[in-house]
Amino acid sequence: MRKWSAVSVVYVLALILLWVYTGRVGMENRGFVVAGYGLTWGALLWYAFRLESRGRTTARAVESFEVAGTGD
Amino acid sequence: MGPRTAVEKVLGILALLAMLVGSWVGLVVVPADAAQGNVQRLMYVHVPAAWLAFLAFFIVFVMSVLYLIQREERWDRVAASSAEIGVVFTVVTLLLGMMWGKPTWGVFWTWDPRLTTTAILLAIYVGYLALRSFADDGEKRARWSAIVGVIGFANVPIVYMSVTWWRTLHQPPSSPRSVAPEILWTLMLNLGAFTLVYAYLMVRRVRLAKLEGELERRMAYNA
Repeated sequence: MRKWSAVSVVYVLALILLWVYTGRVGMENRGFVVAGYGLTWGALLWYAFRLESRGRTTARAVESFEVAGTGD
Repeated sequence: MGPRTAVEKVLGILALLAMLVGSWVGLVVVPADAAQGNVQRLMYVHVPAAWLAFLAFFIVFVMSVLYLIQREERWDRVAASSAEIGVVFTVVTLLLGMMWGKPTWGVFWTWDPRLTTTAILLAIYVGYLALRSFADDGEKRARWSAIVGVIGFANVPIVYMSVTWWRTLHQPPSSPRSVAPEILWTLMLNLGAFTLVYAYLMVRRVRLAKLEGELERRMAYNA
């Protein structure tokens, strides 16, 4: 969770930096370019962290069967 | 899911670094396209995302065929993992296409053959995942999914060929001869980066699938 929060902060800062950079170089259609790259990074990071979270939840559930002595 | 192995760690770091370099080159280093201007920079993420979606669904197809022949659970796990990642890449492809379409065509969405067949592709694999969540019996779920995985792949070549077979707004596939070298290399760099991301996500997703299978077995034993 802490890692996800840190990555979210870095992600938002990178987007702001990209927005400022594209403004300074006078990039036309920069809204679409920044949104496109932001969406790509956002989606892949979200999915990668979602996998980790699902993994932790599932591992805990498997362990709970072990603790209850009903597993192998 | 357990700590990452050394290979997973290296793969994850490589994927992250490659994505950073690929985005930096695509956004900053390579010059803007002479005809479309800066919005063409979206191509460096849109095209790799589309290719990786195709690759992901090809893996689903191969693993589904293997499952139907050998009936081994591991093939089903890999197929399901690849389908889920393929759906993520397809959604990214469609949304990036919309962002590129608006300034280029004037609309976010039009019922163009390439766009429509890609939307159908997404619907097929969302259906594949939905089917998996409905079926309780593991063997039945794997068999039904494998059949959908084989039949559903028929749409992939249709999506690819749609720009050749029908009149479409979408540009036809470019050949390396018709593209400037700096554009080609940037595209290849990003394709490599996306492939590393796919490989990393697959390794993690397959591990999760294994764990989910274990949980299902224990729940069934306990019931």
